[in-house]
Amino acid sequence: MSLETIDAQYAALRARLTDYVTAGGRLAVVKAPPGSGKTHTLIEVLSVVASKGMRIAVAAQTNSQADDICQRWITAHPEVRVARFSSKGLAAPQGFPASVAWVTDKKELPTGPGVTVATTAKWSLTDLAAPYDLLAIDEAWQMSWADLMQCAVVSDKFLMIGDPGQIPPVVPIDVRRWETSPRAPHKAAPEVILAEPALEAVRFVGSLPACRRLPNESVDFVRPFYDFPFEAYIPPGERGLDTSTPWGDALADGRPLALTIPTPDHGPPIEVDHEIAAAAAAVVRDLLAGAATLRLGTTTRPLEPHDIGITSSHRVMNAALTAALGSSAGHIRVDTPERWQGLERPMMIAVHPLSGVSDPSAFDLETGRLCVMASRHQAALILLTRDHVGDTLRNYVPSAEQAPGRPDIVGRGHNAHLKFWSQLEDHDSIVAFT
Amino acid sequence: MNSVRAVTRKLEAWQIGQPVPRYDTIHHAIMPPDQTMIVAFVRMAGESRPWGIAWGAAGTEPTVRSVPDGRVRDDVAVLCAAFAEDLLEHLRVHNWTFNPAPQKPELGDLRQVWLPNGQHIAMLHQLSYTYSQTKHGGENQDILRALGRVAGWMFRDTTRVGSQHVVSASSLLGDSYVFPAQDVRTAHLGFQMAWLTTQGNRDARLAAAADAEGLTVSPTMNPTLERDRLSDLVSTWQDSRRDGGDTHTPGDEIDSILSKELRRRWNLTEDAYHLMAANERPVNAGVSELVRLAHSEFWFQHQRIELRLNDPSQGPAFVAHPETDFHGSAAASRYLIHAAADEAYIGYLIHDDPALFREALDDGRAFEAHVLRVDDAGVGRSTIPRWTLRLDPSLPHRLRENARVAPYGSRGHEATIIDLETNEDDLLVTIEWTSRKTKPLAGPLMAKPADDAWVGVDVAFVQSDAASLTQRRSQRVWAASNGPGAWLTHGKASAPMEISGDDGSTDLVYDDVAQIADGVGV
Repeated sequence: MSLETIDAQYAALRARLTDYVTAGGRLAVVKAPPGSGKTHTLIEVLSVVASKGMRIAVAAQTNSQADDICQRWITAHPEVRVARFSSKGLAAPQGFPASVAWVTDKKELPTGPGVTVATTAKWSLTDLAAPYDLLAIDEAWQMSWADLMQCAVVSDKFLMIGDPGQIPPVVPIDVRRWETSPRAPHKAAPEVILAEPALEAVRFVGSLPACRRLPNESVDFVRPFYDFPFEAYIPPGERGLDTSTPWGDALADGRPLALTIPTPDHGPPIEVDHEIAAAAAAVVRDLLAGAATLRLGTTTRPLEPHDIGITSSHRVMNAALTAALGSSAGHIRVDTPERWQGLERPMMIAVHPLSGVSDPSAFDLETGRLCVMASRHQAALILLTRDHVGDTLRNYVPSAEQAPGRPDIVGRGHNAHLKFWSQLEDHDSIVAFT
Repeated sequence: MNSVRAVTRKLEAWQIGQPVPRYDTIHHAIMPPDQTMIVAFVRMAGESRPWGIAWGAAGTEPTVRSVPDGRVRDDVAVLCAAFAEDLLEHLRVHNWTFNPAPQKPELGDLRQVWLPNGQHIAMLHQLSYTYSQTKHGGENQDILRALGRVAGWMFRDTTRVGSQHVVSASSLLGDSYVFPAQDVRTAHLGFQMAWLTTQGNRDARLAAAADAEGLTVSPTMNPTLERDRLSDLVSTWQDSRRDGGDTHTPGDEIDSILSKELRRRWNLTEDAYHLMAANERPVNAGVSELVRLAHSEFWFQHQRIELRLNDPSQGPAFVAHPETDFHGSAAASRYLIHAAADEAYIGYLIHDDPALFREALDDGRAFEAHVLRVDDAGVGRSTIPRWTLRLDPSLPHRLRENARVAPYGSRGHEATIIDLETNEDDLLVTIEWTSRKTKPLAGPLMAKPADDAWVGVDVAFVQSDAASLTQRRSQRVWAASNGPGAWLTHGKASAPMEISGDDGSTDLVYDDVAQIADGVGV
């Protein structure tokens, strides 16, 4: 599909969404693939809506997301009156634009047309003097239904935008009691809404048409994690990493590369795998020492330490990775996929979530982690893993653990994992690390 | 316990040949024998109703009763009514005792019910399904419904982290000891008790545990026993009942077999109780907070609703559906309460348990730091102590700006991380004291946070929880039902559910939406 066509689809979606909201539509849900311009779309649509006199509340999931939205908004649309509503103990970050009002007292919230940005938690605990005309929720798939229920005091109209492939809201407790609840409080709010037939008549459902972050050749790998179609915005061959390492050819074309090390006979180390950590450090060292060149469209430049990000599922493993990096550690972000959500780097190195798992559980097969790991890079992705993963996935027989009538999360997760790995195999993108 | 630590402890247990303590303290209240009712069930294979029940206070002779055929609804109802009378009295449920539990009882007033394992706890769920809205039972209908409601509450409460009223003996032993065996085997109460109580070396304990494992503890009995010894007796009893013959002989024989089975399960549980009650490890000081929460949960989730059911002037009441919370606010509110309990749990216990603290250090939920600087960011007469800390960047941690931390051993003090700075060798963290900032810490120095004496001292911190905030949000869920967006978030039509009994009878069970929103009585 041509870029012109994709751009036209973006414009059409924004126009339809703007029309729906300004015409009094009460419930809009927009699905977005990774790096597709969610926040940009939200800002563009709501700037038009605000210009028509609406008073809009925007809910972000973290304070840093809320700050980021304000900064982007005032840069793109200085004509919109933007306020940041925060708790009293929180100070504005350094460099926060002075043109965005920093409000900590609900009595001082702007009353006229414009936008007020706060976290979901802040909105849910605030008694408002008057409701807003619209509550727009960014990263909506990270918001649980229980969180949304508390936001019923904010507005009677809702716009939700988010990435359904990302990690669902954290559920730290036994939730079997609510698995069959008609509106399960722990599920992602848009998931509950989209599963509710009674809302079909009133809701607007759309999706952003393309992934703009990933190299064209990487997009096929993340499609199995989504239930809607999308295109690659980056043309083929435009992004990659050119390097003289033995496995460099596989990275040049922008596809993910899996580097494997042998699995011991007694099974892979659990949680902390020092060999994998050492391998990650060696990969970083080889890339930085071997004059690797990033190709980002027409721009080419040497790979720098700050271009690299590293992720693994376990914090103790991340600590081992940080330790293995030595002097580079200060420049390279190492974190869990949960903390990588919303972030990107030209080059990512990820420890495959099944590398240390020989008998996958529902937690291990949850696809959000792998999806986030596989969708943070702009030019190159290396997955480091023990070499049993393909066999483990093929030998695994998923058993239905869900309550009657509920989606088979384990089965779907297994299927998505298997498709991802099979694509690596089909492209000869699994190489033994030496 | 994280998996690496769990495996290490297992290997240690294997090395010394016996189970080893999991932590340095016991994380559960253990009440005196007269406040501890021990309950065990047996049931027919494939049936949900009890076939027999053994119940009684620890240290006493239990009441052991059974029915000849667990499929005969009326007989089981009589059995359950007898059990209900003692259970409701034991738990001090309103209307079934002269001494009902008040809203704020003393910590020492906790009443516990011990069951062998999770499968026996699941029997509480079955009792809830069968009786909470039953239309049967004749003169026993009221007490059976009360049994269904309290069993439902007990079952639901076991899924709340830190619950104290209902104890799975097997789970408590598993939480208190690391066994030198696969996890799946250590869920067997007999296996656990054999490892813990057999005298001798590892081989002796292992052999005893293997023998004990051969005897079922679950409510469903060994299929061989049921097929070879009980099946014919039940058929004979049924034939005699139909033909007007002697039902006593087969009935007594069935009772004799079931009583033996029940008594073995009950005794094992009582042994587990005595083992824990006489444990050389102390009960964690934070358990008192868990008991306080447990009392509060019992009051608000059961006792208060019982009051309302018997006296409508006390406010609206509803009978929780055994399957789930259909009412959106009820579901979300309970979910948030359980989340708050989970958040608070470790925070209550960690300050009194060095092993728990070490585990938190291992997986980044706690950290040790060196105080580099103490400043005062206050303006005028206000004091806002700030510390700059140095951490080892190679250790796992979960630090982020705005996260709240508490000094280890000094629960109640709290600080917020306001800055993180990483360089090649150090991780520098700036914290600002926010809670009890003018009170001395109970750490290595008895000094206030603003005191310069802290410079150069090593201090440990643990993650602080936001449980009180989560609890507040659970109330906001109900309050938001009047908000303009409630058409989306709080609206949901109800539907009664038809439950068919084994004998073909059906009950319409009304969900909580029908009761709360539509005022349907059950």
